[in-house]
Amino acid sequence: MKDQAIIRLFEQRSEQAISESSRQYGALCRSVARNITGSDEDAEECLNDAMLAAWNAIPPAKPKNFCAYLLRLVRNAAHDRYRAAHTEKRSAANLAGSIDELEEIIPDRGDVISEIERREMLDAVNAFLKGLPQKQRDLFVRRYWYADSIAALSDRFHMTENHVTVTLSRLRKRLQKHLGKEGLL
Amino acid sequence: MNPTAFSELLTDISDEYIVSAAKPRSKPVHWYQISAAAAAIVLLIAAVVYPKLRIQTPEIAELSESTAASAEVITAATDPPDLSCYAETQTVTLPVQTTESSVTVPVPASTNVPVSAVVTEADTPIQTNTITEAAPIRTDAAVSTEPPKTERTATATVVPVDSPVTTEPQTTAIRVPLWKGIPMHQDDYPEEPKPMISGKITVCPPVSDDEQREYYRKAYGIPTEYDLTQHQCLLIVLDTFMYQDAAVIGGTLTDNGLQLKIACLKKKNMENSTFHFALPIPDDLVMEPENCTAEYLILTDETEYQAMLTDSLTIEIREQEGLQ
Repeated sequence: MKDQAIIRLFEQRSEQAISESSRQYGALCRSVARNITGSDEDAEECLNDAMLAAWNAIPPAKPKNFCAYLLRLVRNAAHDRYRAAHTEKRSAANLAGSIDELEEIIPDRGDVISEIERREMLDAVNAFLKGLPQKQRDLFVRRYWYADSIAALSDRFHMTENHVTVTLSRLRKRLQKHLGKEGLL
Repeated sequence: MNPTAFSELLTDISDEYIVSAAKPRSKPVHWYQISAAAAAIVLLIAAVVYPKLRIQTPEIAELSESTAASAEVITAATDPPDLSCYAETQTVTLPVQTTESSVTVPVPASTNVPVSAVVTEADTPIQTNTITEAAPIRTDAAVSTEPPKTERTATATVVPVDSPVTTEPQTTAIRVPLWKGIPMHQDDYPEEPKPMISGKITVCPPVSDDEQREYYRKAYGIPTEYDLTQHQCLLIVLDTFMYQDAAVIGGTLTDNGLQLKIACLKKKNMENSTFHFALPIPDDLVMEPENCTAEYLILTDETEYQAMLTDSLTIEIREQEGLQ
C-alpha cells in the first residue's frame, strides 16, 4: 500500500493504518530503534510509541514523506529511551559509538542552543550532506542517523571495516570544517 | 551543544537523505569480471565449434551417395618437379558443373607444388569443365619432371546449380612440358627399340633397360630426372624430309586418342632430317600408339613459323558424355 493510502487510513481513523504502517515500515523502524536503544524490547516499544504518535498527529499533520516521518518518530522515541538508559548508565547500542565519534567535532560544552541556532545548525548539516556524493552521504546518514554499526556499514556498502572507519573519519573532519566555516562551532 | 544533542538534531535532516539511505544498496558490478567471463565463454564456444566447422568442410566424399557414386574424378597432378627449367607457375582451376551441384576446385599448381585438378561429373548431366595447366615448353634436353599424375582427390565446394542439363562436349585443356631433341640425319639414327614409326606417334612404356633409357634421353631430350622406369612418355618421331624445323604447337585428347598439331617449316633445299619430341603422359592414362595421330601445318615463312611457337604446349581434353 502506498504512503498516501496509509495516510488516508490515518485520516479515516482506521486501525488498519497501524497494521499497514507496521507491515510496510515495521522492520526498518525496528532496526533504527534497535540500533539506538540496543534492545529488541525497547525497539518494539519505540515502534509502538511512534505508531501512537503518528495516530495522534495524523490528522491534522499530513506528512509529505510518510516513511521519513515515521522513522523520525521512531528515532525520537528511541532517543528518549536512549537518554533515559544513558542516565541510568545502562546505555548500549551503536548510538553510543556514533555519539562518541561526533564528540570529536561537537565538543560537549554543556550550553543550550536556541531554536534559531538549532535551525542554522540543521541547515548547515543539510547543506553539508547535499554537497556529498550519494555513497558518502548515505554512509554518513546510516552511521549517524540510523546508528548502524561499522560491521553493518561494511556489509551494506561492500567496503572493508577499515575503509568505512577511514571514510567516516574524513567525513567528520569535513563536517567540522564546514560547520566552522559557517561559524557554528 | 553536546554530541547527543547534535545526534538528536540530525533527526530533522531532509527526508530525502533519510529515505535515500534506507534503500538497499546493490553490489557494485565489476565489469572487468563480466568481460573476463564473456571472453572465456567465447573462447570456450570457439574451441568447441571451430573443430566441428573444419570437419564440416564440404568434400567430394560427403556428396550425396548417388552423386558420389556416379562422380568421375579427373585429376591432373604434377609433382613438383624441379624444376628449374620451368619459368612459370602452373595453375589449374576447375569449375565443375553438375545438375545437382557445382564443384569448383581451385588447385594450386606450381613447378614445386603438386598440381591437382579435380573434376566431378554427375550421373546425368553433361558438364563443362575447364582445366588449364601451363608449363613452358623446353627446347633443350636438360631438366626433367614427374609426369602428370591422376589421382582421386576430393577437395571441393559444392554449390547447387539450377542450370539445365547440357549435352555439349566436355572440354579440358592441359599444358604439359614438351622436350625436343637435337635434329638427326637418317644415317645418325642409333638403334631405336620398337615401336617406333617414323612420322607417327608412339608411347614409351616404363623402361627398365639402362641403354634404352639412355637412348631416349639423348634422342628425345628427356631430362635425366624424369624416371622412365616409373612413368610413361609419349614419343614423337617426325621425319621431315624437306623441312628445316618442326614443333608441336598443340593437341587434342579425346576418347578416340590424341591428335597433335605439328607445325613444320619447309626449307628450300631438300634434306632429310628427323625431329624427336617427347611428352610426359599421366601414369593412369592409357594411350595406344595407333590412337595417336598428327595434324601437320606446313609453313614456308620462318617468321610465321616462329609466331606459331609458344612457351607452353596446350593439349585440349574433350570428353563426350551422354545422359545416364
